[in-house]
Amino acid sequence: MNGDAVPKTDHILRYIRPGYVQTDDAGQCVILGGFLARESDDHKPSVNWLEVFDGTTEGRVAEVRSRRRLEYAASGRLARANVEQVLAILQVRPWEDRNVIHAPLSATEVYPCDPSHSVMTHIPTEAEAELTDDALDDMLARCVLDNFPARE
Amino acid sequence: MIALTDSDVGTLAGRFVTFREPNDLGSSGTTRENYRLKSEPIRRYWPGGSAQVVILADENPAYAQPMTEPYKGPRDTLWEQQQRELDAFQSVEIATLGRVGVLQAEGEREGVHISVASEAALLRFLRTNRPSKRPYVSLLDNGNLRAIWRSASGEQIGLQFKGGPEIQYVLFCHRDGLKPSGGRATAQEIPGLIADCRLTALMRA
Repeated sequence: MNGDAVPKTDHILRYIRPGYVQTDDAGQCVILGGFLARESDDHKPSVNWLEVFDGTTEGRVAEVRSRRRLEYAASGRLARANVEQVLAILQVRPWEDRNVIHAPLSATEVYPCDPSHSVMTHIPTEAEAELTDDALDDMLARCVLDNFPARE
Repeated sequence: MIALTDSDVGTLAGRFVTFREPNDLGSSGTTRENYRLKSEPIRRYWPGGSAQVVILADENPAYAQPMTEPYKGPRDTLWEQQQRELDAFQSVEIATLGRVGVLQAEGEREGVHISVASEAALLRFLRTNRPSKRPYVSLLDNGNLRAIWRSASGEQIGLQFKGGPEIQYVLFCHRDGLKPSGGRATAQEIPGLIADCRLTALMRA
């Protein structure tokens, strides 16, 4: 439900821009960061709650792709992480009130509805993190279980 | 069999020879290893210097045994090691430049332009410290480049090149239970910080 915390046992998907993705020597895509808020995010970067959709992980990822409102770059990736592991990092300092909150989007003339849309709250921008929270992006990148092409 | 002098070495460069003690000429004396001569003084091959006796093994069937590897003295070994390190570093530098090119193209599509000062600082750091393992490189929203070396066990070096004298670093080392330590330091101080965390090996192939 809108405004509720995403269950800890579930998973989120985060679009990772190409600048934070690199292929390693084995040909695997490595996520280097890209979890922090951008200026336009109002400290609430978007994620998608995967278990909102039924089916396999790949099928759920396809649903997220089909309802995107961002232009996904061809070399971008969708990084999957477990909510509990993400919260273990976000909530190290409880007074910052960070969480992963469900924020579904209604359909518009242009876009279909996105019942999976969620946000991470009180997330700093890179500039802010540099001052107080140097390693947050690195820590979140370490939660990534696997990642998928942003475009099929 | 000939007595080899320094002046002969140039003409015999590339030939395989077997060194013997001078007084073992023609006898079952102490045959030493076969070497491939280079244009180096005899002293490089044989401690005695210029008057040692050698057999051209490739002209004498009695000595047509498989040759050992070409002679490698301490200087050769050091030179080869330096050459290997240089080759590895050059591969790292080329790979990094290629990655920066990719990031430049991706960044321009998203309106993020690589900071020239940051790129110069990254390349200066690599040339000074000569890692033999290529770093991952990411492009931050502020246009700075960030180099990352990771191990399979979770250790990590992360360096944001801010363009000025300072580098922002984040280190994950086992000493701290893989908790990150971060801050700012000069390019001269960073190698010491990395060594203190025993992470230098992350930058080596």
